[in-house]
Amino acid sequence: MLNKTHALIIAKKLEAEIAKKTNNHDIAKVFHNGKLIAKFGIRRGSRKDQGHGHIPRELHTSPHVCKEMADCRIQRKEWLEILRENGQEID
Amino acid sequence: MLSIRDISLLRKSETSTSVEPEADFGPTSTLWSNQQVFFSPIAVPRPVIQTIGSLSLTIAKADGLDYEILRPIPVVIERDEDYFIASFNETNIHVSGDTMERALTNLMTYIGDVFDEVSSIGSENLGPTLRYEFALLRTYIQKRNAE
Repeated sequence: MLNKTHALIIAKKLEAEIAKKTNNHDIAKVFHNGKLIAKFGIRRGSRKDQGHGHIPRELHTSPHVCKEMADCRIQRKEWLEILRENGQEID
Repeated sequence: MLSIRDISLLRKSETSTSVEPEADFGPTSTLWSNQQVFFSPIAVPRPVIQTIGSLSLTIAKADGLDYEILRPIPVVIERDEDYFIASFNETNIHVSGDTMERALTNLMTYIGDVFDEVSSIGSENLGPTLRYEFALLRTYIQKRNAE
């Protein structure tokens, strides 16, 4: 299960900018060539085991790929390549 | 699997608010709702929450939030292990929550936050996919008091 710890690692891996919000989620914004190409919510709160199963959907990828990113086996460059292979327009 | 009759009985005995999805099983054994709900905690019988795979509903009103809904927002809530994911699929907006009600509440506030955040970035700085999703989002909601 993807949790908050994973979410924070993924945000770092993707070099995301975190927008602090006052509601229940902060927003991680991923830019590529100066354009915002993806975003995902990171739940607020101190519990590190909070489920973040929504992240793969927001990143247009699979839970497996997200887990691999969280485990440092997939980097930002590879994720971008996966998006291209999946037909996502990012350039 | 619970029958529709059983769900009706459960609804009578265990729901606590007047806002509740219309329970009906679709062809894939999914619990569907065709009823629009206003934005307030939805009441779904607890045994049904434990049983269903997903719930579809639409949100027609966003009282207490800083945006208004221009047309009903289709929402799907799915169970994922021991928590729930609420999705506004058309605009690729998804959130998680520990309970079905919390997931829906989180989604409604997150939609507003995404709208604000993306608005502040400006359409010219969005990638093609997000530009499309944001344009679509603007057909569903607008900030309150917007001209």
